[in-house]
Amino acid sequence: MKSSRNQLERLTNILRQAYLGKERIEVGDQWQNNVMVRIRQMGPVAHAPGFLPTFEQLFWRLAPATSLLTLALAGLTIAIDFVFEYDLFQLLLNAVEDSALVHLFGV
Amino acid sequence: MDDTSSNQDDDEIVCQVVAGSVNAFEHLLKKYQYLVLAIVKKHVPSDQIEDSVQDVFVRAYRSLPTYRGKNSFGHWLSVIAVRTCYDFWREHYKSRELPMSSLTGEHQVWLDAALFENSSQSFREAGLQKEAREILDWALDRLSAEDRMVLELVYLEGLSVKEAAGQLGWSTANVKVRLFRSRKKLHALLTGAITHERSDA
Repeated sequence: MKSSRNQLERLTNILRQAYLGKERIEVGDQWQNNVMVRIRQMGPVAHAPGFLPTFEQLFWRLAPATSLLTLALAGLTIAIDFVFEYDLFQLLLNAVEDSALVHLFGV
Repeated sequence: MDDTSSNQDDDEIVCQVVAGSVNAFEHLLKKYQYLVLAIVKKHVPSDQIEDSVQDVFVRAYRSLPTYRGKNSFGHWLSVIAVRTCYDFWREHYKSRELPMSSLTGEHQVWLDAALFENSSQSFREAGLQKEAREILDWALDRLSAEDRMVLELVYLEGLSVKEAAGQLGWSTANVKVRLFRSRKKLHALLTGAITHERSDA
């Protein structure tokens, strides 16, 4: 058992040497030219904008839609309030003789 | 030239490249070619080294606008190199159709000699022999791309778990778990090879 473990350890160490020895493999020089050829074909690299310019761009792009939506919501809110108050006023006028209803609304 | 001024030089060159001076990238290529080669040589098969090194630099060029200079350019590039090698193995395993190679009689003879030779000189020499590399490739070929990269970085190369996690972009817990499992698998494979060799003897 112990001998087997020693053998495993020895083999592992040899393989580690083999792994580190891979650095000695020779490679040609042509790849450097190929890299530059590929890069020149790609052209200038696209500049990635930072957070603030991206935010600013997005802000102005969405500004008209946001403004319209805000106006529509504001109009809707006012209209709903007006209709509600008008209906309530009508109800009070029609039921002015109904003391229970008048009492209920504290008028 | 000290590290700080070297980093400043790199940052200036990166700015030039990002501003549109494509040829300035050649300075970075020449400066860091040996660093990238050293990384790639250890992780990919010898016939794939040139293609992979090219991929590393092209990938780095594309990613230059995202380089913020928090770490040195060399460190940033080495992370790209390791991840390119990892991607190579992921693609390789995905498209693998041929059956995996097995150990030959020559490998068994080599194992016999390597395991029972006691001098430290032969120990080092054995590691540099072709058979050692082939047995290492045989064992690593039977692991997943993830197991392979973790084993190579931590177990064989000697990086810390934290360093390996940084290079691979994984959490340290993930690297620890992977390392534990992959080391067990590698030991099982090597023990099998030794047992097989002994039963043949």
